Amino acid sequence: MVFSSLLFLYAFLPASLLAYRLCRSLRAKNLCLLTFSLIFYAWGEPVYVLLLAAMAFLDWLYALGIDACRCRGERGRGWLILACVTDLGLIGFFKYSGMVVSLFGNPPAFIRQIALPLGISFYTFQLLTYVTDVYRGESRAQRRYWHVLLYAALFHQCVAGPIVRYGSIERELFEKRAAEIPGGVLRFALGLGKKVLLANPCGALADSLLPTDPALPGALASRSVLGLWLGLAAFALQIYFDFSAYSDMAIGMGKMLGLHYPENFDHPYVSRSATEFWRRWHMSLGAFFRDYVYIPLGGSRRGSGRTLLNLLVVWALTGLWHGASWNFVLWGLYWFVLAAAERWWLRPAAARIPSPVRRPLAHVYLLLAALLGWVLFRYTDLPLAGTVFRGLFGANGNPVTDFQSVTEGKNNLWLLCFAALSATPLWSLLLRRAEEYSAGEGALPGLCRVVVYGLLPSALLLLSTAGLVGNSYNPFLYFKF
Amino acid sequence: MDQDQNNRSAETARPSRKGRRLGPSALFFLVLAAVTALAWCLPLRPTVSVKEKRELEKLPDFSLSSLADGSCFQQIGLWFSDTFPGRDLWIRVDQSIKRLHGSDDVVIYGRVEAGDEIPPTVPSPGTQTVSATPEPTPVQPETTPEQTEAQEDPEPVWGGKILEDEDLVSAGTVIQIGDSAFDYTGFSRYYCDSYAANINRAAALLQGKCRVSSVFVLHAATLLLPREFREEMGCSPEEDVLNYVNQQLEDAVIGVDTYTPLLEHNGEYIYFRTDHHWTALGAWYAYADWAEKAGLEPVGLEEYREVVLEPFLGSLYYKANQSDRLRADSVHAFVPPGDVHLYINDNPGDTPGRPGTEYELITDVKGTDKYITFLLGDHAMCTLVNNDITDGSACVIVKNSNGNPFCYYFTQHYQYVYVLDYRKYFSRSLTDFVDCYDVDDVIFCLSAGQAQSRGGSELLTHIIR
Repeated sequence: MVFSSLLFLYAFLPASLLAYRLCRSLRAKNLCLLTFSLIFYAWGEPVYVLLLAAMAFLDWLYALGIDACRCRGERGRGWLILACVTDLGLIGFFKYSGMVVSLFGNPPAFIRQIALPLGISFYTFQLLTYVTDVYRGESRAQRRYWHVLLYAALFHQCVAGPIVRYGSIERELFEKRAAEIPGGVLRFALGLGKKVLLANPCGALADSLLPTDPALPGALASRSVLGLWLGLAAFALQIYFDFSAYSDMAIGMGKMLGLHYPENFDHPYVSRSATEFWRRWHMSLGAFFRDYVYIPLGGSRRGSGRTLLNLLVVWALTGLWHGASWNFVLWGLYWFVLAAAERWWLRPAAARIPSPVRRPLAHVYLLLAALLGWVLFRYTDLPLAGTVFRGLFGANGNPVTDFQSVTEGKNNLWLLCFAALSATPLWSLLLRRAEEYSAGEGALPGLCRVVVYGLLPSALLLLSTAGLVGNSYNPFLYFKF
Repeated sequence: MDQDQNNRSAETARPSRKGRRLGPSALFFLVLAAVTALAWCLPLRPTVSVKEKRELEKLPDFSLSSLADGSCFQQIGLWFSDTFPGRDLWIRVDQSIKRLHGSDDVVIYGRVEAGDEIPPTVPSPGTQTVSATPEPTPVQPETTPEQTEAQEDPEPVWGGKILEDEDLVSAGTVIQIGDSAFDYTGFSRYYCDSYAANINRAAALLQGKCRVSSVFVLHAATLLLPREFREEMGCSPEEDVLNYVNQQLEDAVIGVDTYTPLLEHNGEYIYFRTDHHWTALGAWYAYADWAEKAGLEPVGLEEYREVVLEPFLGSLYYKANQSDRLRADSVHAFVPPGDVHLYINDNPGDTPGRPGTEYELITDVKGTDKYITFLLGDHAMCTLVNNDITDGSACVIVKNSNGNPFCYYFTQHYQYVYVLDYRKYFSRSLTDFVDCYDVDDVIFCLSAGQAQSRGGSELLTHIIR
């Protein structure tokens, strides 16, 4: 089940909210949340709910083991290693076994048949943060298994993030939470609208202009330069709105219940460098790698060579996390090269350019870098990616424009303009102003409150419903990561 | 006091009153509740989409395996979305939103792919075989599972294999220009060769028994849009495809010109705006060309009684996502003069002389699918009998749905007009049929799209024996 489905909106969500509202105690509320989370997960992957429960169980045991060691004055490092081996081993088996075996030839049937459990990349990392935080003494080990299961399975973020660190949510989950219903409703509706009204049509345009079917190399090679760039822009917008919308919906639902999840996106396309882009894109993943990989490896404190190596490890892992395919590894390494070049070469060189020129140039550089990076991300078939790269610069002998690209560009001109504008902080700023204004007393702020927290979410819900009834196109790109 | 509150919060979690208040968000929950109630009004859930001409998703049958692999849950999700109460209204709202995306004067629905290059020269008739091109070009849609089975099976069992027009009529891509929609046109050299070879084979098999004619029905775009524009769109010029096909036909075969006579009248209502078929008027111009080439005097439309049925929303309307830019069509049917009767037989079997059940020549059907007014749609075998002609003359029209308005005109020349839908008629081979029904003329009337499809080609090969 995905949040942007009618079944979720008009069956699961109302039922879960109503049941939660009827619960009096925090324990009952949590049991209610756990029940609905397991139903939500089992809806898509009935069998793999057992894997989720088993991983949560093992990590619960490991954390207790660490706790017991600590009582004896030991650190419990063995338990931490065991947790890492178990969790990373399982994710490795389910996600990467096919990729690794394919290095040595055609994978056997049983390897090819291994399905990727829903959300395993997200909940594995979350469970790792739990055991690590307990090991570091930043969190207490949970005595109750179902508490750990609830943390891992929480349907808001279990399958698509944000990656919520145990320490950041522990108190709200088990001690005290304060609901922010109006803010949560607004955030959820904005996310839903982003997904249905922006990401889906941008995705349809991207699929039309930038087909991924390996049976169509000819069609891709003859696609015009304009068509490829338009398709790439549409894909860039789709993936941003798709993923950030899912995070918005998760954050919004959390707020409605008093659970505050970390922000995951901060208008990444307004960045002026690759490093800044990744501080704004999938922030919870970046924070995870920073805190649990980069810094433990020594970060930038051990000289340039070691820093470079640490960056390489982090970026390779970032790429690999996104998918069991070599294009994702290349995509990660691509960002590594950019980040490393910026750190040691571009930034000092750019400092010599006057600021009024440097700023717009930096924006253009980042947009180009991000767009070209998405080619690697979109095409698991690397020769197809090569065809697109060449075609973007007319090197396939492809025309500059063609009828289809011009027509589809005209058909979606306002959509693309609006989506591009929505990728900037403009609407967020306006909305924040409106929220601040509506916090005041009087008739006009009151009216503003009605518009912002009542009319806008309701309208977005209805328009999104229309978009979902009328469209079969409703993919979610980050669903299987 | 603080200590007390902290103790209590650990168990009961009382959030601040401000946060718990719904405030204006109550409106959101009201809307959510109202639409939820609507969604669960099961009697309001449609089971059929009249507009989309399809049955909507059904609730799945539960089984342990479907529960284990999650497929039954997916099916429930599909059912919930597909049968959402008021779906037509929601879809209209969605279309209104989409109109804001940009200019919708010209919209392409589907993927544009280049067809084969049309050869400038043609092998001389009688010497050509099916092109050695090993694989057909990808201009046609995917074959149905039934077709795939048929291809894999060395001894295909043909009975009951039905190909729908909409599946095979074209490459599947549609362009909407203003208030009209057009199929993209492609060219598959392999299947054009195959079609011509099939027709020539029929002529050889039936030599000395009857004449064979080919009516290769072109798409509306070919007749109504300028060639330069079509080429810019990425269409194969179908007039060249027609030439390519007709030039390959044996001299004994009448190759009807479905381009020039219709082009001269392309200001008239010869193709539908929302459907892939030609109109009865367009079909008449092709018939007139056939009649001339067959040495017959075409009977003018003024001799017929015109019936107008509306509104008609055809297949292109649905391929164009029911765009409200498209203007509904009207179906102009021409009732032939004389004592003409229509018989329909969906299970003709082997026994001749049983024409089937009699129906009105032209039937006004409910709903917007007015094209089935002709022959009441596609049936295995229809027989038009003109009792004013008593010479026992007979023709057989092997057709897809473009033949439905076309066949009425032959009632003025033959006592019996047998209309076989080659996608549904599996009782006899063509030679057997000609012998059994003492047929004078065999006319193949296929759309260019279907003639160039794998399924269409295989079925044609099957009947011509």
